[in-house]
Amino acid sequence: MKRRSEDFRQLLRLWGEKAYNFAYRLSGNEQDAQDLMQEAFMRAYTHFSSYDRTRPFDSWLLRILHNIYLDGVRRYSHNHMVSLDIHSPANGSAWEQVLPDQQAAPGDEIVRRETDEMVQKALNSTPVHYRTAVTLRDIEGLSYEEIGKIMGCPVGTVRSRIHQGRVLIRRAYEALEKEGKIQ
Amino acid sequence: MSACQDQSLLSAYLDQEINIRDQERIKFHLASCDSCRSELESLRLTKATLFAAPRRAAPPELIARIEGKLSGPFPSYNHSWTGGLPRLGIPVGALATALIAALWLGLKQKDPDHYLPLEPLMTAHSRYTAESLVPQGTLASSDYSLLAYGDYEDPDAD
Repeated sequence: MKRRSEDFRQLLRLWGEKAYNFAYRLSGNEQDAQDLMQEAFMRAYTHFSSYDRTRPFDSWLLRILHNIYLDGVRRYSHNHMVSLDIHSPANGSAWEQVLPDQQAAPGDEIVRRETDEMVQKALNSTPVHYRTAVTLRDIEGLSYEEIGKIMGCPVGTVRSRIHQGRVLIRRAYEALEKEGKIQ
Repeated sequence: MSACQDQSLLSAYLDQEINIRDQERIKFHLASCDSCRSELESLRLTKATLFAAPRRAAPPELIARIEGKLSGPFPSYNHSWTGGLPRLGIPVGALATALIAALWLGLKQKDPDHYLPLEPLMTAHSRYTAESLVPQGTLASSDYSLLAYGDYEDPDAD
């Protein structure tokens, strides 16, 4: 048991960052991302015997995380998980907890944060299936096939979700730009 | 995509997630379609913006919290009742299963309402009888002779 526990710690160190980033982009805020990641790892740990070791661990983990998120969205309201106002990093202290880029000049850092804020707001404004597909592709860099396995849908569906998602995100992003959010 | 019918192919084209034939077809179409070229450029920009978004690092306290929870039991692997039988667990378990199965079959045969296929048993009995391995007439005189294989009804059958 100790050995398995140690193995799992290794997996946590290997895939923790990827899982957390995905959780953050899905939920749109630090607190929900932490809850999602913790729940996903604990479920993976508990049900490790059902993991098919011939397949990548990260895909299995992200699938668990995605399912937990969808359960949460269904159980509570959409706004509870991805509120644009209450949980927006720009309005809270969450951004201060993000590791700052020590090399960047202060002006660059502000632009970077604002751009990132707009990216997250654009993602938040997009329906969950599109947001998930685009996040897995453009942020996590997964193939369509891997995304299909995580989301439990055919590659053709992944393709249309990614395209539609990009179109919606672009529109939202452009609208935010017009509001003068970026300098 | 000869007449811009399916623009979702543009995203797949951008991601190199289509076959070579479609790729060539789209390339050919793009050469003569300003609208699709503009759409492709827009998609490329969106993809680049998302890719450039900074990655979130999991807070160290979250990692520590999860690691702390990993010291708990592995429910699917670890059962307290097998904890004292690390090496004997499998053979003892197999023996116990065999004994339970034998006992269950014995009880089933005593159940008058439950019919079992006895043809193999009768064949074996006949052979053993012919070879004088068992006392004569033991099974032939019993009620089992009424349960020929053809009369067997599978209780689980629809």
